[in-house]
Amino acid sequence: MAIQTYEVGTNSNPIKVQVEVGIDAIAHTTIYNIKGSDWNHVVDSLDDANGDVPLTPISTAVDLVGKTLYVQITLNFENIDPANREAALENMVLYYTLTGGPNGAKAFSKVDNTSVEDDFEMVYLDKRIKLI
Amino acid sequence: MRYFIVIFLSTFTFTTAQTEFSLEDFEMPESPAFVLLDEAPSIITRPNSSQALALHILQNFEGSLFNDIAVSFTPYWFIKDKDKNPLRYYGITAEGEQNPFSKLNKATISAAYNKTEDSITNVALGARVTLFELKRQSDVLDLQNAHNEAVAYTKIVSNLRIAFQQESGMIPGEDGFDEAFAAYKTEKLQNFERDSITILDVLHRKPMLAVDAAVGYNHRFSGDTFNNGETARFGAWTTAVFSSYLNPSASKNYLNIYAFARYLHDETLTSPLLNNSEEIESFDLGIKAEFEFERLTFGYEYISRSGDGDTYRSAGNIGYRLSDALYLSGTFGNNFGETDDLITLFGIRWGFTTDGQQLPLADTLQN
Repeated sequence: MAIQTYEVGTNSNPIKVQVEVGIDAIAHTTIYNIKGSDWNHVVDSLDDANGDVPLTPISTAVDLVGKTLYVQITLNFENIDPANREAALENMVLYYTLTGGPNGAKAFSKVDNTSVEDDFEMVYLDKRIKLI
Repeated sequence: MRYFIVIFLSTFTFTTAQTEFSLEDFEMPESPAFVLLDEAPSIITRPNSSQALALHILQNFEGSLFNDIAVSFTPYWFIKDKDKNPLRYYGITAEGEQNPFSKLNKATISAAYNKTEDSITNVALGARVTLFELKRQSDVLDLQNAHNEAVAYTKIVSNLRIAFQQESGMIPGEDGFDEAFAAYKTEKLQNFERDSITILDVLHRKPMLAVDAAVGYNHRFSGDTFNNGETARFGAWTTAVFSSYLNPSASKNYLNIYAFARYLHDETLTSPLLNNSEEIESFDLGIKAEFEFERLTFGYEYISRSGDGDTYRSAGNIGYRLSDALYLSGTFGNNFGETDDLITLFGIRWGFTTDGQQLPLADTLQN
């Protein structure tokens, strides 16, 4: 799947990100903006384990243009019976939303990569969005 | 006398993703559809867990294969809800307050097919829901602690994966990434110890008090003819159970006391007080005492039936888990009615593990 893009423009408007996760598994979200080997931490989800990131400023558009926003969601299924884990994962709700660009808010719901550990206890969802 | 072998094929998910299944914390088949047909090993029972999708097969030695089949599913696991989160799932708040009604949205629906030796085909539908569940405060505290520890562990693993990407330059999804990270994680966490009490350990503990409600409808067909279909049974019942630890240090040992009430509209039975073709309305009241140990469960149930014909059921049940994949059960006693009322059930339950790592959900999420 080709990396998706979000137009941030080149002005000094603040670009914001929001992640909404709906699942019974324990979820932790961490967000970085990346350029080359330079990783800048943006925000983590709160410690209430639901993986949600409230609408949070990343930086200004001019600072972000050309960078990649990386969102990693780590799902821990140890709190769900093995028989129900797959159904829980298949039916999770996931939205990434970016705002502040010239075209307004844009929501993304597909991930670039899903990695499932052998015992299905940990699942990782990766999303990259090119900021143009 | 009837002999049954009970095959419990569990966890039939829609795909073949890796799903390790253990019978350790699951009970005998108890779908309302089977209970209504009097095919369940015990009438007075309540499960402590629900599966997204399960298949139950009962096989009569004397009949042909697949004469008794039930499927059950829990819609909750197939409903997308933005507000789902772990604490809501447990039914507690971050402060440790309980929501005793948290399982109202986890109703299980079941359907059963049963064919008798006299060519009667029964089709039954049933539903069950936990109306009320009260956990012990000590269990809530254990649940909070286990949850907080799991949250902290999740964050550690998340940070490790970021560090791995930064150090290796690899990108998730590229060939070899998952294997390389698994090795990295194993190395970094080799001296990391988790708490011995897990969230599932606590969630599988029986609540101090629980009240379930169930309903079932049975339509039957004689002579394999669709036009001969007729209503056979309708029932609605409630089960309350109080569970007490036999030994506080061994939380899998319980004394369970059940109370049971059922309304039954039955067009398959005959009453000595009525003509054979009359419909029977009856009310069942029952109690059950059960000792539950880690591997062994035994109990006794008594159900008194009143209404258009007084009768009773008096039966003892015993179950033993031979291994995580094999469970034996037996029932002996007196069933409702005046004749052919001896119950002698012998049950075997199998569970199995499926392998295979390709997860179709990746397509679901990525396309």
